[in-house]
Amino acid sequence: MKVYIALALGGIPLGAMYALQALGIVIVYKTSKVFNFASGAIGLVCAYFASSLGPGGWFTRILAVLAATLVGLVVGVLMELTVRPVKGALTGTIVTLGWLLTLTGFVGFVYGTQAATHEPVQLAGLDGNRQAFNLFDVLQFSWQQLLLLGIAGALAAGLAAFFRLTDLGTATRAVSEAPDAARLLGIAVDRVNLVAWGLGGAVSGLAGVLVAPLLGPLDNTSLIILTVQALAAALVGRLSSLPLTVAGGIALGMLQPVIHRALHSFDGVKGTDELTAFAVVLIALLFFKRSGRKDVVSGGLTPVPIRPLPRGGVAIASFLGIAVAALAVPSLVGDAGKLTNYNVSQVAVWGTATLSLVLLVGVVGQVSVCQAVFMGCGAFGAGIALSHDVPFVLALALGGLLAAGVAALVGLPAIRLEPLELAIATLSLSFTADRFLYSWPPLAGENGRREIARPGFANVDPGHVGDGNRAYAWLVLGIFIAACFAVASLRRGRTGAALTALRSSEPATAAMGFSVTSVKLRGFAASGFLAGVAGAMYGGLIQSATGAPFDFSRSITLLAYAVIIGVGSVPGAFFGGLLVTLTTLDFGATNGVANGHFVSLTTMVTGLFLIGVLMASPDGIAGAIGRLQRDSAPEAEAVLV
Amino acid sequence: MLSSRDRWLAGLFALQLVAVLAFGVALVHGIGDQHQTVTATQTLLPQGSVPQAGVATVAPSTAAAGTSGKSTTTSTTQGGQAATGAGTTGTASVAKGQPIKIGSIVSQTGAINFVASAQGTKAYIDRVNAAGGVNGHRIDLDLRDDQLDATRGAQQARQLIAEGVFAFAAWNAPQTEGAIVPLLEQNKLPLIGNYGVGDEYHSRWSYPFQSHHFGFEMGRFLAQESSVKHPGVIFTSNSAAKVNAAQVRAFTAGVKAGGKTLSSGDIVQVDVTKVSYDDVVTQFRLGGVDGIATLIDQTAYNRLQQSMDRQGYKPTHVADPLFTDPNVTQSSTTEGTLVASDFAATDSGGAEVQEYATAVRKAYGSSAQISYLGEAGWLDAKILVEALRRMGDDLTRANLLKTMDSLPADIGKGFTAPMHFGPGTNHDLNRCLALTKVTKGKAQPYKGFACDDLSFDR
Amino acid sequence: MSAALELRDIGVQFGQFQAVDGVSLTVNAGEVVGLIGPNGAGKTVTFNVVTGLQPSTRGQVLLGGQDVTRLAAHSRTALGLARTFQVVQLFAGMTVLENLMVAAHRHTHAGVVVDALRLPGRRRALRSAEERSRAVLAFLDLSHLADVEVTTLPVGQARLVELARALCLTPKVLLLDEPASGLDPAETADFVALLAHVRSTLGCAMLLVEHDMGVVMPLCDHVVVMDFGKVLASGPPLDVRDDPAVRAAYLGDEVA
Repeated sequence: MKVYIALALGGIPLGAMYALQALGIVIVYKTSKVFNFASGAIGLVCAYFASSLGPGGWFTRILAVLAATLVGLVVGVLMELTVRPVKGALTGTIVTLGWLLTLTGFVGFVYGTQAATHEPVQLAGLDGNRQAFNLFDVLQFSWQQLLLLGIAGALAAGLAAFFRLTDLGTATRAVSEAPDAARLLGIAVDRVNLVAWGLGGAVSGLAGVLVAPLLGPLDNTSLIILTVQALAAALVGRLSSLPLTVAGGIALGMLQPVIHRALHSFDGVKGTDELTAFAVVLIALLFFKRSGRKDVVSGGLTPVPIRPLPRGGVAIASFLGIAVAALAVPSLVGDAGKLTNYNVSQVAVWGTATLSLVLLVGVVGQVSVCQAVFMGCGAFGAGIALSHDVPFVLALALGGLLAAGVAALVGLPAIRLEPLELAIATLSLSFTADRFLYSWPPLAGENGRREIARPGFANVDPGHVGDGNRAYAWLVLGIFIAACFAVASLRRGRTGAALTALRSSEPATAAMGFSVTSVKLRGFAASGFLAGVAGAMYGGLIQSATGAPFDFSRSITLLAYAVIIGVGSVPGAFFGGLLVTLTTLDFGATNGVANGHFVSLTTMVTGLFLIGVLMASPDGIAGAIGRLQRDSAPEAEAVLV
Repeated sequence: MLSSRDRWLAGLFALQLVAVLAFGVALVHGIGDQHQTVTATQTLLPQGSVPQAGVATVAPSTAAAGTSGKSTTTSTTQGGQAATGAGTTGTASVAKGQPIKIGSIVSQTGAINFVASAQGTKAYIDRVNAAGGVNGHRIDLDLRDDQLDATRGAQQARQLIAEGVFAFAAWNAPQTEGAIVPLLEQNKLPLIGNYGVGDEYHSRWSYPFQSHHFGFEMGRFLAQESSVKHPGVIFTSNSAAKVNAAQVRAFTAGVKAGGKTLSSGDIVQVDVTKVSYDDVVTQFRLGGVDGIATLIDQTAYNRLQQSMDRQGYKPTHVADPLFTDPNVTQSSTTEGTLVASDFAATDSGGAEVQEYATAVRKAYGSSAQISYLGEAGWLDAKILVEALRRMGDDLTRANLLKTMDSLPADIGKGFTAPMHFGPGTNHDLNRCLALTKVTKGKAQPYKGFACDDLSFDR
Repeated sequence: MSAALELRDIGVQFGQFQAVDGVSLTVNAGEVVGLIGPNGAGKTVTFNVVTGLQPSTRGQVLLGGQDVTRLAAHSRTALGLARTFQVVQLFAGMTVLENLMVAAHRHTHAGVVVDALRLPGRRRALRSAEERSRAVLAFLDLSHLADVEVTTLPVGQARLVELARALCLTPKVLLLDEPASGLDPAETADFVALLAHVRSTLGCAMLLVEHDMGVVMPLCDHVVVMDFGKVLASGPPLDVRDDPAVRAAYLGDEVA
C-alpha cells in the first residue's frame, strides 16, 4: 500500500510536466477554439534553441531560457497569422498539424536527427538533478523538478488571474464566445488572437525548455510523444480552466505509475502509460462538457461537390487509358535501377490508404489521424488469415474486415464527438496503438510480427524476383483501381448520398429516414476496410506484418497528403500514393545531403505545403481545380418564383 | 470569367505542382547518380586495379555529432550499370579478382543509434582494402542507414539484394532485422554478424555474434554479489511477447543459479519511450531491492540515472554494456556500477581492443565513437573477412556458410570468450559475459567470463 | 379509422420549466392543421416532439394509430412522416435533383456493398430514386431547376425544393415549420396555392407551425392556438380568430 502511495506521489513531478505542456494548448484554445497540436513541437524547437546557446553559469542559463521562450512567442504569433485566414476551427487545427510537421522537420534539418548530440539547458543548473526535498522517504523532488512545479503553478495562477481580471483577458473570453459580436463592440479581435497565440506559444516553448532536461539528452521524438498526456491534461481542464488543467496533468502523472504497477501483474502489458492517457482523453471527451460556442458548427471540412463521372466515349477512353498504363508501367519499370516495381507497388498501397482517407474525410466528413492504425490491423489480420491457409486475396479482404471492425469501434464514440474532438481522440489512439496494439500477442503474434507469404504467382524466389514483383505490382494496382471505382460508385449511390447529406445537416438527414449513427458507422467501416486492405497489401510487399511502418507519424503524413491533394478527390488518391512513395525512397549513398537531413527536409516541406494549401484553398488542390472549372461554367439562371 | 483571385490561385497551384515535380525528379535523379547498382559478376576488373573514386573511402564527417548519419561510401564503379533484372537477386558467387559486395544496414539516426557500430565496421574494412583486400578481392561495403524506420530498411534490404550483394554483414538495425528474415530465406542469403533479437536470431542464414539476451548471466552475477539480498531487474520490453517471456525466464533462472530468488514483482519491463523512471525507482527503493540488473538502452540509462540520483537510490547495479556508451552521461553516481558485457571493455581491453580503438580514432578523429557497439561492428567485419580469407578462391554462398560453421570458437579472441552456436542449424549463440567495474570513470576488470546454457530462447 | 397524426396529452419539462403542458391534437388524412401562438408558446418544442428530435416527458404521439413516442426520428420517416425546417436545410454541395434523391432513397435498399461493387441492385435503386425525384419536380413545376446547385437558390425556390424533397418521401403526414418565413406576399400566396394543391392531390395530412395569418387562414381546416405550453383554443380558423382569449394572448388584455 505504501508503495502505491509513494508511486502516486512520486508521479507529481511527471504530472507537472504534462500540465506545463498542456497550458499552452489551453491558452490557445480558450481564445480561438483551435487545438494546437504543435505545442509539443514548439517546445522541441525552443529546447534545441536553448541548448545551442550553450551551457554556462546561472546568468547564461536564465538568458537561454528567456530567449527560448521568446522564440516560442514568435512561433506562436506566426502560427496565428497562418490560422487567421482559415475558416473553421477544424481546418485551423489541421493547420497546426502542418506546423507540427514543419517544426519537427526543421529541428531535424538544422540540428540533425542523431540522439544525444545536444545537451539540454537545465535551468536549475548541473546540480539541478540532486535531491532537493524528501518527505518521509516517499516523496522526493530534485531542484529542477521543484522549479518546474513552481513555474507550472505560478503560470497557471498568473494566467488565470490574467484571463479573469484584466481587460485583455476578458477580451479573449469575449472573442472566444462570439467573435463577431466582439468585433462590433470594438474589440480588436485580431490583436487579441495574436496575443493569445503568442502567449500560448511562449508557454509551450517554456514548457519544452523546462521539461527537456528531465528526459536526458535531446532527441526529436520524446517531447512529441508527451503530446497525448498533454492532451489528456488539457481535456480534463475542459480546455478552459488553467488551474484545472494543472490539476488534471498532475492527476494523470499520479495515476500512470499506479496503473502501470497494478497491470504489471498481467505479465508485461505494454504501453500502459499511453493507455491510461488515452482512457483519460476518451472519458474527458465523452463526459466533460467543454465551454464553447454551441451555435457555431465546428463542422467538418467543407463538402466537395461530386462531379458527374464522364460518360460514353470519354469514359471508355479514360478507362482504357488507365488499364493500359496499369499494365504497361510494371513491365517497363522492372526490378532494377532507380525505381523498381517495389516502388510501383508502394504507389498502389499508399494510394489505397489515401483513398480510404478520401472516403473518411472527404465523404464522411470526419477527420481521422489514425488511419495507419487501421492499416496495421489489416496487415496483421491478413497475417492471421494466411496462417490458416486462406488464399491471398481472400486474406486481404479478411484483413480489411478486421480493420473495418476496428474503425467502426473508433467510429462509435465519434458519433458523440465533433470532428475536432474526433481528431484529438484519433491522434491519441495513434500514439497508444504504437505502444500497445502492435505488441498485443493476439493481434501481432508472439513475435510481434506475422509472416505474409506472397501468392504463388507473385512469389519472389531467386530467379523469379523480377517476375514476382511485376505480378505483385499488377495485383495491387488492380486492387487500387478497383477500390477507386468502388469509392466513386459508393459516393454516387445511396450511402454516398446519405453521407454527403450528413455533412450539411444531421437533422435533415435524419428527417430523410437515415439513422445518423448507422450511416456514420458504415462510412467508418468502409474507410477502415480500405485502409486495412492497403495495410495488408503492404504486408505482402515486404512479406511481413509489423507495427513499425504504421506509426503515428505515418498517420499524420497520410492525412497531410490527403488534405494537400484534396480530400474530395478520388483521382487525387493516386497522387497521395505517389507522394508517400517518393518521400520514403531511399537515397542510398550520400548525395551531399545526409539521409536524416533529407527526411527532415521532406517533413518540413510537407508541413509547409499543408499550411499553404489550407490557407489558399481548404479543399486542397483538387478542390481548387474543381472550383476553377465551375466558376468558368455558365451560372444557373435565377428564376423568380 | 475567372476572377483575379482565381487566377492567382491557379498560378499558385501550378507553382506548387511544378515544385513537387521538380523535387521528385531531383530525388529520383539523385538516387541514380550516387547510388551504385553494379552487378559484381558482370563487370570485369583486372586483378588488383582499383577505381579512382575512392577505395572505400570513409567520410570522416559521417556520424559527426550534429549532422545526421550519412551512410556510406563505397566506391562508385565505372559506369554504375544497373543490375539486370531477375537472376541478380543475389550474387551467389564472386569471380576471381572481383570485388566482394557486402550489404549492411545500421541505424545511425534517431532516438537510439548505433553509429559506433558503423564506424567500427567501416574502419576494419577500409584497413583490409588498404592492405590489398582479401585474397586479392576488394570488399565493397554498401552501408545504409534505415533511420530506425522499418519501411525504409525493408526497401534498402531489397535494393542491396537487387544490387547483387554477396552477403549481408555487420547489421545493427533493430527495427529492420526482423522484417528481412523472409528475404534471407528466399535468397539463401547469409547474414554475418548482427544484433540478435527474436526471429533473425534463430535462422540458419544469420550468424549473430552479440545478442540481447544477457538475462541468465546478469542474474547470476547480481545474485553472487554478497551485498545483494533482494535483487530486482529492469529490461526493455520487445514487441515480441515471446522474447520478453524468455528474458524473464532467463533472469529468474540466473538469479536462482546465483543462490538468491527473484520474485516476479521485482521484474520490471519498460517501454522504449518511458518518460520517467521515478516510479520504478520508488518501487524498488521502498520494496527494499538492494541490487538491480538493467538491460535497457542509452536514453533509458540517462533517465534511470536521473531518477536514482533524485531519490538517492544507490543499489548494487549490474548494467548491460550500453551503460558505458558515450551517449550515456556519466557522473559521480555511476561510480561503482558493474557492467556485464560479452565484449571486453574498451577502457581496459587488450591489444585487439586497442587496435580497434586506434583505427577508429584515426579514421574519424573527434567524431569517433568508441564503445561496445563499435567493438561489435569491428568484430563482425573481422569475422567476415576471416571467413572470406579461408574460402580462398571458392567464393560461393554455400561455401561461406560451410566456412562459418567451421570457424574456430576463439575467432573473437581479445573481444569475446570462445563462441559456440547451439545444436541444429539455427545459430543460437551462447552468451558469455564478463564483469567490469566503473572505477574513476573507467571500466576496470572485475570478474571473468561466465557462460549460460542456451535454453532460454525457446 | 385512426387519424394520420394524433398527439395525446404531450408534456415536455425542462428542469423546473414546463415548456409544453398537456397538448392534444389530431390531424386526419387530407386535413391541414395550423399550430399558432405567440413566441415562446411551445410550438417548436411540440413540433420537435412530433418529429422525434425532442423526447416528451409525458404523453403519446401516434402515427396512423401506431405509437411512435419512443421511436427515433429517422425511424418515423419509414412510417410516413416528413418535415421541412424553419431555416431551410438543403444539402450543400449537391444539386436540387441530388437533394431530392436523398429522400427518394428511402424507398430503395442499396447498401454499402451493393453500391461499392456495383451490383445490379444499385442501378435499379438509382433509377427508381431518380424517377421518383423527377416526378415530384414535375409535379411542383420545378423541373428546370433539377441540375442547379442548391446553395445558389433564392429563398423562395429553396423552400419549394425543400417541400419537394419532403414529398419524395411519399409522406402520409407532412410537417411544415414556418414554411412561409422569408417569402414576400406574392411568393406566399403562390406557396399557399401549392400546398392546397398538394393536399388535394396527394391527400396527406399536414401540420404546420406558422406566424403568417395569410397562410393560416386560407389553408388550414383547423387551427390550434398555444400559449405558455398549453392549448388555448382549437377550431376552424375564423372561430379561433374571433376567440377573445386568443386575442388577449396576441394583443394584450386591454384590447379584448
